[in-house]
Amino acid sequence: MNTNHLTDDTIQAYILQEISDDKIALHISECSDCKAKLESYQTLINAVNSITSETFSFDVTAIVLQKIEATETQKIALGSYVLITVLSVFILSIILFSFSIIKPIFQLFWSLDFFGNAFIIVSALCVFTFLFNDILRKYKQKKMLLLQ
Amino acid sequence: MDNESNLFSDKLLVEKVLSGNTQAFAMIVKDTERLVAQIVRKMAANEEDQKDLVQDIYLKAYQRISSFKFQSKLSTWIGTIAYNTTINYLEKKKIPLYDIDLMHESKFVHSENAEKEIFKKETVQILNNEINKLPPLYKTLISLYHIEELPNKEIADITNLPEGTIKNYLYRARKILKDNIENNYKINSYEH
Repeated sequence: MNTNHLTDDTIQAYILQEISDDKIALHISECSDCKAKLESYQTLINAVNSITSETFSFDVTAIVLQKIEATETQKIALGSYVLITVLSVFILSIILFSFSIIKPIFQLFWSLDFFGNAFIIVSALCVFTFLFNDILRKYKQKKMLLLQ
Repeated sequence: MDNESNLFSDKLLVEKVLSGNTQAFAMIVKDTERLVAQIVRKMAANEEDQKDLVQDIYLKAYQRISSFKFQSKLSTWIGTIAYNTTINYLEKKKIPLYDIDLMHESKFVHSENAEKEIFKKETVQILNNEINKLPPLYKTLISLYHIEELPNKEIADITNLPEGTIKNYLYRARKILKDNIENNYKINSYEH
């Protein structure tokens, strides 16, 4: 009688067809211990294969989208704060550094007549309104895409 | 052919997500939540922790999707994120990944009526209980291989472990399962 039994790993690999060897098949047919072990493993593997997969008890898609939306909103808010800070610093530094040239600029405006001044102011307001609306429209489009 | 169609649908979905379509990402979540459940549920028992982990996993996937290079299936990539995130969670909680002592603690819930018990309980329930007593990594590998039916190569991609190591862990896990069931229920067969 063959006393060199097959290892558990070899038996499992044989069942899962990871190895195929006539010597293993021959040994199993002759050795009742290894045959019993093989049958136990075969039963176990069949039983584990028959288990249906577990799912979560909560709605994964809903909580994930909620989290993404919250993070994106936070990111947008943070972006807005950064933008406002940068713009404020920029405007303040312009004002600070333009003290020396403010007087000549005012002198330039004093030298123009009423219509000249009105033309400059209205043109500047038109350009500003156009740019502001364009930025606002793009922002709304992006927000709609995010919330889709 | 199947791989090509997978790659095509993965590319389509990723492009949609990158253009800001969150519904496309919802589809990705639906397609992969079964795989993520196999990893997360096996390693974290608490439902609140599971919720946090799932949100964390998919948020990472959403934020890093532009770096996905299509070298594997999108589901495998998300599986890797799920595995790494859950491993980090276990490390933070100081839960050992493959500590056999964990298994011994819950072993041998012997009763004199053990043989009768097996007829009362469902086979699947007993098996699930025994799988749940395994160390976290072993039960995850058993789930991915036997329940999710993933090939060793894909499990290796997800866990970043060599295929040989995965085979060895699976052999060990099955041996523990077989020995535990035989010892706990004192029978060799657990078929219906």
